[in-house]
Order: sequence, then C-alpha cells, then structure tokens
Amino acid sequence: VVNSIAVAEMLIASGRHRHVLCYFGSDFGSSDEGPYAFPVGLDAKKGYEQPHGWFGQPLYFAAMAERYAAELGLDPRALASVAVSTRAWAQLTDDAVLRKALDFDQYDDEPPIAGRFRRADCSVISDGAFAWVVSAADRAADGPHPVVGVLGCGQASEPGQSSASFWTQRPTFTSTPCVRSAAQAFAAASIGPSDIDVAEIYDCFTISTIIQLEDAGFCARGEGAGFVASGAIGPGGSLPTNTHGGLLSHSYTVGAGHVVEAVLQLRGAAERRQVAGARLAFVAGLGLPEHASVVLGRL
Amino acid sequence: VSDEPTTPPTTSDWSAFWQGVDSEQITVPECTSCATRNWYPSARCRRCGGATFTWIPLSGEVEVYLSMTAHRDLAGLGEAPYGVALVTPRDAPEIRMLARVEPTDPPEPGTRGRIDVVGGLPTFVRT
Repeated sequence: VVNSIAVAEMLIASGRHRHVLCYFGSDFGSSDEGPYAFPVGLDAKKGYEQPHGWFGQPLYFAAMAERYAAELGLDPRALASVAVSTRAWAQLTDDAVLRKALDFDQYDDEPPIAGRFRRADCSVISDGAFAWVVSAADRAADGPHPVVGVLGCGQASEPGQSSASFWTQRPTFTSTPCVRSAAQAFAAASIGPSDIDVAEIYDCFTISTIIQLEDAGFCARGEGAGFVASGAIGPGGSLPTNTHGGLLSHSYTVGAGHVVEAVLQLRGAAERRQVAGARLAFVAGLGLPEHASVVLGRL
Repeated sequence: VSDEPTTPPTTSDWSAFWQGVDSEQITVPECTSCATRNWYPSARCRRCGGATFTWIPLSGEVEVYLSMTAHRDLAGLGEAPYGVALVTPRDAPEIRMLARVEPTDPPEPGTRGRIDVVGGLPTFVRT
C-alpha cells in the first residue's frame, strides 16, 4: 500500500500521467474470517504448520518479540508502552475505532493472546478505506491545500526470501527489510532520521513498531524498547509516531491510514493531534518479506 | 547468489514427513543429486534443480530457537492454551522445524532437548 506512492511517482515522472489516485479499502472487520482468510491457502500451512499450532499473525509476530527478548533484551514495559502511546493518539482522533482509555494497569488486564502479546498488542480488526492523489508538482500547486511533496521512496525485500519461502525460516526475527528501504528513502530525500518530525510506522503489532524504529535508524539496534518505554512516541514525545492511532487503535487499513495521516500532519490539518511545526514525515509499510519507506515533506 | 537457480515452487506433499512421524522419526528431504536438504520440501532442489529426494531421518536432537504459549485456539485445532516451538536440529542447523511444547512452561531459547513424537505430533522434550 505504502509503495503505491513510489509507483505513482514513477508514472508521473514518465510524463504519461499527471494525477494518480491511490486507494485501499477492506472489509476485514465484517467479513467472516477477516485477515485470517488469506494465508490459509498456502499448502505448507495446512500440511505442516497448522497441525503444530503455528498459525495466525499474532503468533508470527509474537515470535519476533520472543527473539528480540532473547537477543537484545526486552524491557517488560516496552510492548505496553507502544500500545499505550498509540492509544493516546487515537483518543485525539475522532474517527479512530478504538478510543477507550488504555493505561498500563488496563494493559495488564487485557487478555493474553500468544507469547508476550495481550490483545492490546494486536492490530484492531476493522473495515476501513483511505485514498490520496499523487500529482505532478506543477499541478499540485493549484490545489486548495498546502503542498506535501514525495521527497524519497525506498523498497526492499528480505534476503533469500520469496513467496516460496517461509516465516519460520527467516534469516532474522529481529529486523525487517525496512533497514534498506528506509536508507534508500532517506538518501533520496537527502535527510536522516533525526530530521523527521512525525513517523507513521506499520504497527500490526507492538513489536513491529519497535523493530522498524530501529531498522529505520531512529534508534540503535536493541534501543527501540527503551526508546518507546521512555514515552518518546506518544503525544509530547520526541518522535510522535502513529499519530492517528495506527493499526493498533485507528483501523486495519494496512498502511493507507498512515499515509493520509502523514499528509494531514504536514498540511497542519491534524486538529487536536497536530504536531506543531511538522515539516518532514517518515512512512513505513511492512508486508513481509517486503518493505516500503517514504519520506514526505511540506514544500 | 547469481549461480543459484530461482527458488522453485514448493510441493504440497507433506505425506512423507507425516509417514516418518508415524514411525517416530523426524525426516527431511535430501536431494538425490547434490545431497542438499531442502526445507520446506520443494518440487525441485533449491540448489541444483534436481527433482528426486530421499527423506532422511534426523537424530531428533535440537536446540530451541523460540517457543511460546498460544492462549487462544489460533490454529483452529480445538485446543487452548497450547505451546509451540521453533527448534534448530543439531544435525541440520541450516533449517528450523516446528514442535509442540508444554504450554505451562515453554522452554527458553537455547534450551537443548529432542523432538519426540507424542500423540502423533513432533514434541519438544528436555533432555
């Protein structure tokens, strides 16, 4: 979804198109099996993984948290901090699906799901839709809103991974191809992570936020857990992250909501949750084994 | 690596693995041409493109890569909680295999043990 910006940019650069509409909608919340419907088709899941009990996104990402804890150490408050910070942003966002207060005690009362995950560590499952238009720079200036530019894009895939390889055999569970996609996007934009005012990071689970913050260079490997536990990503923190409530609390719109939120923040149109003076935003989209990063800026 | 063939489609046929389990053996498919162990099983060898495999037994000695308790019936097996582990075979460290574990006491990464067949399923047992 996030990578559609790079595709749109190329279509416009080719001179064949002036405006490209990007959109995403889903009925994950109201369809029978929601996001559980799509991975079942893989033969290896039915033939090998499912009989062992290895099935479901919460379990796959809980596995990342287990390896993070084993390799790098995981502050017991870190996962909860992501959930609490992201919910605090959702409470400032009128159309967020989950706006109920969440503090650390309430987090501890959430039902356990898998491994270290409680329900609040997992994306909300909802319907939802978002759309945006990418236009040639000279045409965008004619629009009614402040112009937000695409400053850099990056795409990467996990080494040795393909549709014919498998989560259980991933070369590492403690990083993602965000390492390379973010480096490409920052290089193209001629800026670095420390220049970013707002980050919108694909947060299907709390651990996903922590690992991609490290991957993108907002903090060093192993320091993401401490970074989020310090409150850095919540309202008033040093790196406002998932300022609409993300996948965890806003809606399961697979990154489209993150793109639109970045644009609203850069336009200064984010109402109660506006990050003052936001001029540069980083957007990360995760769809393992692939990853896309985009840097957007107020022109 | 450029001289390696593109990963071919995997096979849907896991029956040889489960036949091994039925006789209390943990087996993996080894290419008859180049002896590469292909995991997960593949219609063609990921290294040489060979199309025939022999399922060879492993010792069952493993080290835990990760393990956890699933508190919900995530896999639709009609049971919760249950425990699941990813383990590294001592004699095939280039692959990882799945095993059930005791849900009340999932072993830490690095714990050594073996995969035994318990109730028809590969199960991690501490040694």
